[in-house]
Amino acid sequence: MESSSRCKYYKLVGPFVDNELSDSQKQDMALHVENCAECFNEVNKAQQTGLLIRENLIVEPTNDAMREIWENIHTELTNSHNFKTQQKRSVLKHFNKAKFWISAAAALIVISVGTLFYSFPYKTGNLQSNHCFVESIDSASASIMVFETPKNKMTVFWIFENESSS
Amino acid sequence: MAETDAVLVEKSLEGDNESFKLLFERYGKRAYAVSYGILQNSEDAKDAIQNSFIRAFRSLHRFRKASSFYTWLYRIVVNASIDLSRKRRRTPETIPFEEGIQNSSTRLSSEKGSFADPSNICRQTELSDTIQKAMEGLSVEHKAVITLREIEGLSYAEISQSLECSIGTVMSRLYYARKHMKTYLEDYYKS
Amino acid sequence: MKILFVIIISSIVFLHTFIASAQRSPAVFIKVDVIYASNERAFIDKKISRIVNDLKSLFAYSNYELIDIHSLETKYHQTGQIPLPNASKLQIVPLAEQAGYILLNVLVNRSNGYIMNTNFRIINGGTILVGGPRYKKGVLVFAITVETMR
Repeated sequence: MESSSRCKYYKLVGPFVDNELSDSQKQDMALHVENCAECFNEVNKAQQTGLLIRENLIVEPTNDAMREIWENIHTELTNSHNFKTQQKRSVLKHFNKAKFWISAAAALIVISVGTLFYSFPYKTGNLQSNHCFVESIDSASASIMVFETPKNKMTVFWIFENESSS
Repeated sequence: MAETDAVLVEKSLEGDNESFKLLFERYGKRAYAVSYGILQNSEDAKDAIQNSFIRAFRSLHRFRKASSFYTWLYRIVVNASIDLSRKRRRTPETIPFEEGIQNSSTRLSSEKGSFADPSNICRQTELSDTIQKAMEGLSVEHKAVITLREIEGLSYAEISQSLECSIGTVMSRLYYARKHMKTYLEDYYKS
Repeated sequence: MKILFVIIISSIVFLHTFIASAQRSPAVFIKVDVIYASNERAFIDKKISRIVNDLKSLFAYSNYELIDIHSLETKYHQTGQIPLPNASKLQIVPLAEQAGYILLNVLVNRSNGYIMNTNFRIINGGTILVGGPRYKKGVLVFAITVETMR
């Protein structure tokens, strides 16, 4: 719905806020934001979203909790002799594991190469609406009517359930 | 001078558990924050980072020193959290009463004068609940990307390494996650 | 022999990765707002006021509450499944994209079979509404928004 009226720079709002644009893109975007109310607003909201998340979602565990976690980790690694055997891992074991993954990858490739070039057998019809064009519709136990809202021309599928189906 | 991650990894590989403990002390809390962002549950986050550090230790020999230790660790933490989230698939967490009080007072004390104004307290609690609810509505992949970006401040390249996906996917997930959060936070933005 | 096998497999993997990266299926993002419409009281959730304004011109409910929001990421031919509050399920499968439109299959499932199965094309970023399944003292309405980014 909104995609048609969006400013063409809207996709750059996120990378701009995250400082992920090149210097020239950044300059270009900064200039644009000064003159485009929509992007200015989006930049402002994206920055505030980050701030609100940081203020409200960062939960720091207590030192006691961290100590307890470390003790559990230490116990687990000590009991399973991981600390002692870390450096003595068997190369052969890795090779066997690798062989398993290679075989699995080969099977996956055979399946996925077959589906790679598969395309949906879909033919273009005449579009009747700007937003939605119903191709097929059916129900096993209800009656369905399709409406279009007068204001935004949104398609509405309304299901009239039979008593037995609910 | 503090030893680098690479040195600590090397020593851990030689069986020095003190070095691995130092790595845990260096990244444990940050790993917890990432896991909590995805799981929204403190007990689950503890389980997830415990499993992550055990997994990390057992696969230290696979760590390539060319990449940074924390992006590699975050990959393990994110995967462990996603696995746990799929296993549990439970609805909103119930947090222990004391912890709830502690969390809200920590949040409130950071705002000057907010104790004096009950309406501020209500609004703050409401905002926290709204953010929590908004996060719950996101898929785990989206939670992971927004947590790594907004809480950990990772770059797109680091996120893509941690999540083993392309930078394009990181960008589009962030775009949709922010869009989703925006619908919930509309009332809280200052113009 | 083993080495030869590994080399062949590696070459296929490389080739496959190369071709796949060129033709990778884009992610399709689906957002479903689950709305409860009834006549229990006169209330309209601000977050869905735009949709409700449209709905009100067709249906005579006084109460519209946003009870859940689901966001999911899927791919073409991959099913996105959403559990609904009345023990039904909503299944959405993006099938293809053409000229800015996304072809979708939407299935509303009850425990005793589906109550709607439809295929339609929708503009990228567009929203459709599916309503009618009974819930509590009213009905459920789903606002389904689908978007893909290239």
